[in-house]
Amino acid sequence: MDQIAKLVSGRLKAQSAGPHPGPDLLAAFVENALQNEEREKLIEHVGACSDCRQILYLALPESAEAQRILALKPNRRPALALRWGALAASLTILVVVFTARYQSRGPVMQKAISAPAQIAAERAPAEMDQMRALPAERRNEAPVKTRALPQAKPMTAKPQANLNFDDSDQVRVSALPLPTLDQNKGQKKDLPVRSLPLNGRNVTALNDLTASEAKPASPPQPVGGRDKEQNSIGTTSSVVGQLAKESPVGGNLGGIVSDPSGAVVANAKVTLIGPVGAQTVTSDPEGKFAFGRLPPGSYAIEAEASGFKPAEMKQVAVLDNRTSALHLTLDVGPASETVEVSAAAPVRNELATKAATVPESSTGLAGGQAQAEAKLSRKKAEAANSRQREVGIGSGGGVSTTLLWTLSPEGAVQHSGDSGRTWQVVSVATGATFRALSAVGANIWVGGRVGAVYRSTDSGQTWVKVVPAAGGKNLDQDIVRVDFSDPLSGTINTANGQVWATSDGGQTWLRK
Amino acid sequence: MSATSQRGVEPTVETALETAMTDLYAKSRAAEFGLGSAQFVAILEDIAAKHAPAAEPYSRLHVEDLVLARACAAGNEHAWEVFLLRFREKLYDVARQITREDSAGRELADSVYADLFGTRIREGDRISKLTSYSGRGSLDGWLRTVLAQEYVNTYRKQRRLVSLDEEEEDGAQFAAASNDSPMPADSRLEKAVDEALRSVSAEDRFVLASYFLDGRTLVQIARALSVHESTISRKVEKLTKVVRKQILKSLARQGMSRRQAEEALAADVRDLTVDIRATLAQDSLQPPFSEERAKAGEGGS
Repeated sequence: MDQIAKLVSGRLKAQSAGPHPGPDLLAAFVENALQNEEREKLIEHVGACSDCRQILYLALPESAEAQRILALKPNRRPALALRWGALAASLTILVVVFTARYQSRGPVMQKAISAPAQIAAERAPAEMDQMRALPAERRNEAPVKTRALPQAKPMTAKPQANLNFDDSDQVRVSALPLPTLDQNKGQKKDLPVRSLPLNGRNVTALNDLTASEAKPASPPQPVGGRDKEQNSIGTTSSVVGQLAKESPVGGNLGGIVSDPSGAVVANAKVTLIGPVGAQTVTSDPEGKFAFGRLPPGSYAIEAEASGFKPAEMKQVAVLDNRTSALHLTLDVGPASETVEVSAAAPVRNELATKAATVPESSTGLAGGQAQAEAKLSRKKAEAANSRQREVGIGSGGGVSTTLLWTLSPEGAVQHSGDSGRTWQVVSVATGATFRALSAVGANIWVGGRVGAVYRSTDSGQTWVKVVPAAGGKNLDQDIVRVDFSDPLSGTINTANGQVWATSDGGQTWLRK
Repeated sequence: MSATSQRGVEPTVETALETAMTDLYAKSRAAEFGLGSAQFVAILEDIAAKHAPAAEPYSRLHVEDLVLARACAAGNEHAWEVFLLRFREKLYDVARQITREDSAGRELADSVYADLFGTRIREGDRISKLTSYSGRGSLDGWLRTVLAQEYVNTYRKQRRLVSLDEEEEDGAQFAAASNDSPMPADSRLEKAVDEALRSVSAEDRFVLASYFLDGRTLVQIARALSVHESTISRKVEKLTKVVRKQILKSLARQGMSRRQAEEALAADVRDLTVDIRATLAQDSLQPPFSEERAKAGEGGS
C-alpha cells in the first residue's frame, strides 16, 4: 500500500500544471474571446489542473433550469441513410406527380392555404393566433375561388422584412456626444472631450468628428406640456397608446408624475437626457408627460416641481418601435434632496418601481462601505419588487408570480408560474425549435437552428424575430447559447464558435 | 516601401486609430463615469501592453464593462449605482447557483463584494479587485469566475476538515484527484498510457479529463468549449479509440506482442480508466490562487 501511495504521489507531482490563470483569462476562454495562442496555453493548463477546471465549470452560466441545449439524435450510418434517403426521394417524386395531376383537374385548396401559413410562420404569434382563431370556412373562402397553382413568392419571403430595427439610428446614437449630468448640480453639460491625447498627439474633437454624421434623420419631438391639446390622455397606458400611434419611427417614452399619495402633479418639469441631448416638457394638469420619436438608447429622466424633492431615474431603456411607460413619484420635501427612481424595463404598459435614495458623499472607507451596503439592501429590495411586477402577469387578482423559463427536449419554449411544478408551452413561431434561452425579467431571448433568434419583451406574450447582422453578414449558424446579463446587453454563441454580441437590445450586433 | 510613401501612409493610420479611439471613448460611457479621455487611453494602452498579442487590440475588448469596472474601482458613485443595478442580484443568484445553498451563497457573494469594493488600503488608496478586470471577457463572466474561484479557494482551505463521506456526497462537484486508486500492475502499461495521452492535443486532454476524471456531462463540456454536445460525444468516442490504439502501439514498441498487448488492456479495463484518471490528475493539494498571487494580480493591473 505504501508503495502504491509513493507511486501515485510521484506521478501527481510530475503532473504539475504551472501557474494558475486569473479569472480574467478563464472568463475570456469560456466566452471564446481568446486568441489561438492564448487559448492553447490556457487549455493546456486547464486540462491538467483540476482546480481550474472546477472553477471553469462552476462559472458557466446556469444550464439546467434556464438554458438547456438539446441533444441531437445519434448519427445513422451513411449507407442506411442513403437507403432511407432513396426511399424518401422516391416517395416524394410520387407525391409530387400525384399532386400535380390532381391540381390540374380541380381547385387547389391545400396548397393555397399553405401560402398564408408560410407568411404566418414569419409573423408575430399574436397575428398567428388571430389567424388560427378565424373560422375554418372563412379561411378557406378565398383559396377556393382560384384554380392557379400556388405561387412560390410567399415561400421565399425573407424574414428580415419583419424586423423592426433601424440600423441607421444606431450609428447616430453611438456617435453623438453624450450629455452627462453634473451630479452635484443636476445640470446638463457637454462631454469634456475636445481633444484626446494619444501618444502625445491631439485627436480631433469628438463633436467635430461626428457632428455631421451623427445628426438624426428626424429630430426627437417631445410631446406633452408643449402641446397639451394633443395630449388629452387619461392614464399611463393611454399615453403609451397615443405615442405608439403617433410615432412609428424610434421609441417613445411617457408617463405620469404623482405625489406619494397618488395625486397627480401638474406643471412638473420633466427633463429627458439621452443620446440626442436634453429635452424638457411640463406635465399637464393630469400629471402626464410624453416624449416621442426617440432614438433607441439609454436615457436619464428628471422631474421636479415646487414643494417636492426632485426625482431622478437613470438607465431608462428606449427601444425602437417600443414605448416605455414610467410612473415618477415626487416625495414632499425641500428641493435640495434628490429622490432617485430605479430604471424601468422597456415594457409596454408596465410601471416602474421606485425607491428613495438620498445620495451620500464619500466620507472615508468605513463610512463609504457602510453607505454602499445600506444602498445595496435598498437596491436589492427595489430590484426584487421590480422583477416581481415585471413577471407578475397573467396570474390575475394582483398576485405576483415568478415565471421560470426552460426549453423542452423537443425545443419548445416553456414557462412555469408555480415554481416549476407545471410547465406551459409558449408559442413562439410555427415549426421552430430552440436550443438556447435567456431570460432577464420580462425580456426573453431564444435561439435555435440556422440562426433563428426570437425575442419577447413582455414575458412571452408577443415575439419578434431577430436577425443578428454584422459586417453585411447575417447570423445563419446553429445557436448553442444565448446569454443576456440585462435587457440590452448579451451574447449569442453558435455551434461553429462565433460569438455575436449586442449592447442595445439586439438592434446592432458585433461578431467576434 | 519608400520613405515618402511611408510618410504618406502614417497620417492615415494615425487618423484611423484616433477615430477608433474616439469612438471607443464615446461608446464606453467613460465621460459619464468621470473618466477623462487621457485616463481612458492610458487604461487601454496598459491592457494592450499586458494582454493583447495581435493587431487591433481594442476591437475585442468589452470597453463599456472595462470602464464601469475601473470607474467603480476608482470610487465613482454613479458607476457603483450602475454596477449594482446590473450585477447585484446576479451576484447573489450566481453565488447561490455555485454553492447550491442560500446562506452559503449569500456568504460567498458578500465576501466577493467586499473584495470588489476593496477592503485593503495601499498607500492611501483602496485596492479593489475590479482593477484586475481587463475587459477581454464580459464583466458578467468575470464575476462568475471570481465567485467560482473564491468558492474553490474556500473549499480547498477547509478541505482537511471535510470528511470523505461528505466529499463523496458532493458527487462530481469535487470528484477530482482520487489519489487512492490502484496503479496498473505492469509499468509498461502505465508508460504506454502516459505516451498516449501526450500524443493527443491539449483540448482533447481537457475533454478526457473533464469526462473521465471530473465526470462532467457532454452538455457541460460542450458549453465550456462553445461547441455542440454532439461534437463532444463524437470526440469522446473517437479519443477513446485513439488512446487505445496508441497504447497498443506503445506496448508493441516496448516489446509486447499484439496478443500480449491486447491481453494487458483486456486484463482489467478499470486499470486503464484508473490510469487515465491518475495521469490526468494533478496535485490539487497545492494551494491554488494563493493570496500572494491574488495580491500580485490586483497590484499589477
